[in-house]
Amino acid sequence: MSDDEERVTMPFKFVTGFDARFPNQNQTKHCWQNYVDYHKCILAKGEDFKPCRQFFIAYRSLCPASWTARWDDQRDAGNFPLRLDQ
Amino acid sequence: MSNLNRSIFQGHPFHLVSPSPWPLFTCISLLTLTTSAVSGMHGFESAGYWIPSALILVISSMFLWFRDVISEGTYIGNHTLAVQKGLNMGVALFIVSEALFFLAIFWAYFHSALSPTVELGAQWPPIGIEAINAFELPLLNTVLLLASGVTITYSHHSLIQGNRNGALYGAIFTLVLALVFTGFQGVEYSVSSFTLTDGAYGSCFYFGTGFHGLHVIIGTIFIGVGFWRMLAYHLTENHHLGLESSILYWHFVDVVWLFLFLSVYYWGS
Amino acid sequence: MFAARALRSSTPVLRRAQQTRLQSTLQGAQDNAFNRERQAVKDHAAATSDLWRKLSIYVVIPSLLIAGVNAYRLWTEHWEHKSHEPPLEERVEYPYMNIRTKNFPWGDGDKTLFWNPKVNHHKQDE
Repeated sequence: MSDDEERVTMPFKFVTGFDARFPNQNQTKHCWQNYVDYHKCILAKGEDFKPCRQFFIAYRSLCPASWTARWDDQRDAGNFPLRLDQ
Repeated sequence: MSNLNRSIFQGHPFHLVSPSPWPLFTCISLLTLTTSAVSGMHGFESAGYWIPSALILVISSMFLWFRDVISEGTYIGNHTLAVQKGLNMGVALFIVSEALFFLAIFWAYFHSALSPTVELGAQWPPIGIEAINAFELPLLNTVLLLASGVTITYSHHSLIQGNRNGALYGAIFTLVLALVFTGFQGVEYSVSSFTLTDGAYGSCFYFGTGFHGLHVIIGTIFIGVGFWRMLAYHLTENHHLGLESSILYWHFVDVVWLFLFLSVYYWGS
Repeated sequence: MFAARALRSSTPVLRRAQQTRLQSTLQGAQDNAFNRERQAVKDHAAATSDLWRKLSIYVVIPSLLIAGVNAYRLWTEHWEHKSHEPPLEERVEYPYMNIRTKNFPWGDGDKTLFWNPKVNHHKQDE
């Protein structure tokens, strides 16, 4: 197939590097932790705080968009299952 | 009949039971119960009539079967020492099977509680669920069950000694403590702010405490029957296997509660 | 009927058995290891039942009273504290609460078996 020349197989790499807290196949908690950390970060330090971006990139690459959309809706509705201000 | 007479008819001390309709009756009643319960859960209106009827059938099948066992043991004398040993083993194995059942329930609980999912906010108890204070009613319930263990032991030793009054009073106090425990659990259930439908926490909590409560009720009835047989002079100082079985079952129920108290009420809050 | 005929010593074995039994009721239980153990258990039971009686009265009753008073105190404190909280309807209902994949087959289909309107609330916003 003509597609083969344009596709290159590369070993898998996390966008933000390997996180030893989540070494296994199931990366759900990895995604969740970064989402939570980002929002706690901007709540505590403000939206322009540069180091928060690390979490943002991580969760955007790891998490399925449907999950982040659902969590965004929960935050807006006030029933996100975690206290982000603590 | 005495073992001497028995040796005319059989060369072994065991009890070969005469034909009985109760196993088949029990099977039919259990089948009725399960099919009616399932059909009820799938929306069939007739289950409203069938489920209570099936429950009555199951309870009466147990009553009739155990009544026959009591007749065979106490009145006919079929329960030689060998038979008693076998019955004892049977009860112990049954309790082991119940322990495995509760093992599965605890497994389910720890599976959910040790690593809570992201849907629950990765914490246990999840936010919004107000866990019950372990040192309020649950602690009182623990003391109640331990106390009932003490009183039934007193009753047992009194029976062996031949002290009828002690045996009866011990059994009565055990039953009272057991009923008070059940009552307090009912109170807990009715004032709890979370229900069975409140996610994994509600499911695990009511699964564990619910089945435990059911076993407490069964154990209470078991001891109640033992108490009635004491009153009716069925039991002797060295032959009272029914009572001993009920005591073993009751200790098992107590141990399960201790596990529940420590892992669900105390650790899980 | 069959048993009655058998008991009337129609065989030498039964006659001997009856005689032995009559003898044993006149002299009390035989002295063998089995009966000695039984008597030991019975004597031991007198001592242990006294122990459990003492435990029942002097340990069980005080501990029940203490646990009862403690529970009562915490209970009243808890409900007193509860009355100062915001009403039920304003509480946050998280997505894992009041799950109804299928309604209950009793009542209005929404209330669990031990539903208590004073402490349970189900938001019906749909």
